[in-house]
Amino acid sequence: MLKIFSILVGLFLLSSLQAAPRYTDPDGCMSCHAIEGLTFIDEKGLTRSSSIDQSHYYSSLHGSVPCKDCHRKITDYPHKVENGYVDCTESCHVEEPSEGVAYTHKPIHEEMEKSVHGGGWYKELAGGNRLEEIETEQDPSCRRCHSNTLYILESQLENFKEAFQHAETECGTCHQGKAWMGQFGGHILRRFIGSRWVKSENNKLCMDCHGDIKKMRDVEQEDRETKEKHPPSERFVNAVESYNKTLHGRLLIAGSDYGASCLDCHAPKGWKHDIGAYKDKKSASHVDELKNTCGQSDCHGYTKKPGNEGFTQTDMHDMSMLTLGDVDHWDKLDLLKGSAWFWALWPFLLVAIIFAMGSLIWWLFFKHSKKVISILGGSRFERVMIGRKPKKARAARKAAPAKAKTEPRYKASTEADKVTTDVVPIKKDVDSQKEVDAKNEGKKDV
Amino acid sequence: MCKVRQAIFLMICLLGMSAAYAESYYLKAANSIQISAEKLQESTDKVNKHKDIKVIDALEVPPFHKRGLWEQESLNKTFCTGCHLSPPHSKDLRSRTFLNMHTEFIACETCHMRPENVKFSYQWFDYRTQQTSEPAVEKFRQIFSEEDRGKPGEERRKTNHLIKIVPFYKGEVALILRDHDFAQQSLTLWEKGVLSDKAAHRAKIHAPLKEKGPECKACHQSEQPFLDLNVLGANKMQIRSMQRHIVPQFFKRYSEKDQKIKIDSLLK
Repeated sequence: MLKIFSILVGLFLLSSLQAAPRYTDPDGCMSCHAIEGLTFIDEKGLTRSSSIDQSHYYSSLHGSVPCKDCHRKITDYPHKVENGYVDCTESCHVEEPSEGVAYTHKPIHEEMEKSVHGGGWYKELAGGNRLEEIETEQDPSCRRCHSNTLYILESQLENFKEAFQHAETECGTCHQGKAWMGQFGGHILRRFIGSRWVKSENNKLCMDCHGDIKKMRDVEQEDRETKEKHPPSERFVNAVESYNKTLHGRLLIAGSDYGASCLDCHAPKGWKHDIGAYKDKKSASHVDELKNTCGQSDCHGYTKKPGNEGFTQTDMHDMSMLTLGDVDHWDKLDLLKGSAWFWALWPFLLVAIIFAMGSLIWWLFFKHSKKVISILGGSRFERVMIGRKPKKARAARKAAPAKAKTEPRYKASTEADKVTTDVVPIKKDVDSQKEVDAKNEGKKDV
Repeated sequence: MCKVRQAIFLMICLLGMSAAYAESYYLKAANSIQISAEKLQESTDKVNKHKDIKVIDALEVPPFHKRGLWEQESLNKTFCTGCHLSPPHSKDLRSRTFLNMHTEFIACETCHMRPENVKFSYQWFDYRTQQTSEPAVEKFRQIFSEEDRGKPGEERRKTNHLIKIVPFYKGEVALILRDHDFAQQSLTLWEKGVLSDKAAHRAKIHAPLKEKGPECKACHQSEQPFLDLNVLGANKMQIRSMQRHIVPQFFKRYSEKDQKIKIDSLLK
C-alpha cells in the first residue's frame, strides 16, 4: 500500500516538474473571433473586422500570448472600446525562457521614448483609433512599424523544418529530454536559421515613412535644447533618396547585406530604437561618435585609430548626389544648387540652347532658301553634293563671263573620260598597231 | 435522396432561367402594397437624415492581427447594395458583425422579406449568371470534413460571395435583380429626384420588407429550421455544426437586448 502511495506521489511530483501546458485561448475568445467575415463599417467609414485569422495568429510572434494578456479589461460582450485598449509596455504571462521572468516590451519603450520618435503612441491602442493616430500623431506608434508577423517567416520555413529534423540528434546529444526542446528548442533553432529580417526589410520599416517626401515635408521638428519648432531641412526630407545613392544603400537594394542599414548607423546599440538627431551628442550619428559608429564590429574598424577620422566625414546623405528627378520642389533654388547633376547639366543646356536658336533662325529665314551658309565646309558641300560653284566662285564667274562653264564633278569626270578616248595617237604607236593588225589578219588566213 | 435533390434542382434551374427577367414576387409586392401616411413620413425622415459615408478600406497603420478581411464583392452587384453599404449592419453593437458575416452567403431578402401568407423555397443563386446554382457542400463556409479542420480560411473556403441563398416563389426567383429597369430607375431617382419622390420610392421598396430579420434560433436549431440545409447541400457535419453553433447559444442565454454577455462564463 505504501509502495502504491509512494508511486502515486512520485508520479504527481514528476508531472508537476514538467512545464505547465500553455492554453493559447484560455478565455474562449476564439469561439467568436475565429469566425471569418465579422466585419462592419464604423461611423468614420472605416471597414473594421473582428475576425482573427486563427492559424496565422497561433504561428505569429504573439501566438503563445493569450488575448487577455494584452486586452486586459475585457470582461463582457459587447466590449467597451476602452476595455480593449492595449499597452505595449505591460508585462505578459509569457516567461523569458532563460530567467523565467515575465516578458515585457517596457525596456524598448524606455529607449524609444528618449529618441527622436519619443512621442509615438504605445498605449490605448485599438483597431478603431488608427485613423485618429494617423490624423493627429507624426511620431510612429509601436504598431505603425510592427505588426504581428509570423514567428518563422515563410521564406525561412523550409530551413527551419530541416534544422528541426536534426535537433534531436545534434542538440539532443547534450540537451536531453523533451522539456528542453519544448522550452528552448524552437526559440534557439529560430535564431540558428538566421536573422529574422534582412537589412533591406529593416530599411523598409524606416522608408515606408521617411521615403514619403510629401509626408516628411509636413513634419514639424523640435530643437531639444531650445524647444523651438521648425520645418524640416531638405536634407531630412530627402534622406532616403540621398542614402539610396550611397554604396551602402545600393548594396542593400542589390540584395547584399554588406551595406549599412538605417539602424546600423542611427541606432546600432541597445534595442535598436535609440535614434537621435545628428546634433545630439549622445546620438550615434553625431560627428564625435562617428568613429565608433562606423567602426563597429564587421564595419570600418580602422576609423577608431588616430589619423583616420577623415574617413568618417564621408557624407552619407550627400545632397549633391540627388538626381533632378528626386527634386520634388523646383522652386527651391538652394536644393537645385546643391545637386551636382544640376551643374553638370549646364554645358549640355548651353549647347541645346544654341542648337535650338539656330534651328529657329533657319526655320524663320532660310527654310525655303537655296542659300547654303558657307561655314564649316559649306563651300565644299555646295560644290561636291549640289554640284554648283560656291558663292564666291559664282561671283567671280559673273565678273569673267568668257570663262568656260564649270561642270559638276560627276559630269566633269565623264567628259574627262571622253577626252581620254579621243586622244590622237602619236606616229610610233600607229606603226606598231598596224604591225599587230597585219599579224592578226595572217592568223585568220591560216 | 440524391437523385430527388438533383431532379428538384434541374426543375428549379429551368424555371429560374425563364424567370430571371420576369416580374418577381418582390416587385409585384412593392407595386401593390399601399403605403400608409405613417410609413411615408417615416421614410421622409430617414431620407432627410441620410448621410453618405465614404468607405475607407485600408490605412497606412495596418491592423495588428491578420484579420482575414473578405472582399466585399456584393457592393453594387445586388439591388439592395445599390444604396446600402456592404457589409450593411452597423448600428447594433451586439449583433452587427455576426449579421454581416451572414450577408456573404445569404441574400438580404432571405432574412428581410418574410411575408406571412406566402411560402418561399430557398436555393443558391448566382448573381453573375442570374441562374440558380447547384446545391453543394463547398458552398458552406463551415468545415467540410475533419481534414479541413485547422486549415487557413483561404484554403478551406471555396465559395464565391456572389452565390447566395435567395427566396424563390412558385419556382421563380423572388428578387429584384440589379439590371432590372426598376433597379436602374431607383438609382436614377436617388441621384436626381426630389425629396418627396425619393421618400415615396424608398417607402415602396421597403414595403414588402421587415426591418428585423429572423432570430438566430430560426436557423440554429434542429427542429423545423428556417432554411432546409440538407436541400441546400450541407453535409451532416455542417448541419450539426451550424445547428449547434456556440454563438447562438450565448445569445440565447442573454436574450435581453441590453444584457451584457459575461466572457468568463462563456465556456462554462
